[in-house]
Amino acid sequence: MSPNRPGREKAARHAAQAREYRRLADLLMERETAPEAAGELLYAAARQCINAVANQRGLNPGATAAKRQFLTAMDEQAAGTPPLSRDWYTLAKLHTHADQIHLPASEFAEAWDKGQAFIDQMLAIYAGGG
Amino acid sequence: MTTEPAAELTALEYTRRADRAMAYGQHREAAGLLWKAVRATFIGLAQKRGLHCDSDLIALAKDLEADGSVGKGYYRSGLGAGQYLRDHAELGVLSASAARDAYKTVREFIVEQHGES
Repeated sequence: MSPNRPGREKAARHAAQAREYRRLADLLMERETAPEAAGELLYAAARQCINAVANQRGLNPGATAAKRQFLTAMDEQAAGTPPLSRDWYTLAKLHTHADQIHLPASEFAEAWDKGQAFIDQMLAIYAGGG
Repeated sequence: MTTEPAAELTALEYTRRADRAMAYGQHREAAGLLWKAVRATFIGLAQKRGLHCDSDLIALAKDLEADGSVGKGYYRSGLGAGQYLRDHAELGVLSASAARDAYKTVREFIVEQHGES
């Protein structure tokens, strides 16, 4: 077994979980019965994407703060526009929407779109080898 | 601290006040002031570019991105992060450390618009 194989296996599991959470989020959204739950699932999918890319790089950011720091480090390595760490806060509103605040429809839609784009971008990075 | 209507202060003045609040550990107040700085920034950008600006800042952010001078989603991303701070100011949804991280991220966006730190 190569030294980084456990990290790769964990990364693959997290990427698979991300895709599954997103599939379920999309399903709930299509049914239009529980947008809050759909948003929370999309937020969870985004978190799993971060884990997948981080694991691929031999890192293991557990807590949300560590995930944010990982995104900041990614931004420093490859400056994107907009930065991933900034996008994170827009999509994180899906979590606060489910948990504490009912967002206006336009803000929810924007956070949803941003969440989808963030997941696409992170899965592309994962597919490219991290 | 006195309270003024949003239009009376510039984005950078709101930012300076927010920094002071943050320095005193008042992260909810700082978050509210920095949100006002974000709002003032968008209103200023609209005036500068002759764009229509009402309460729909998401629509304004899309208009600002329309000329392709910035990456797709650039202004909406800054706005969304600012709204995240607004929610914290109103309801205290973040821990102190999470508030500091979000504050730093949003402040960077404001500085990018005004070229001043």
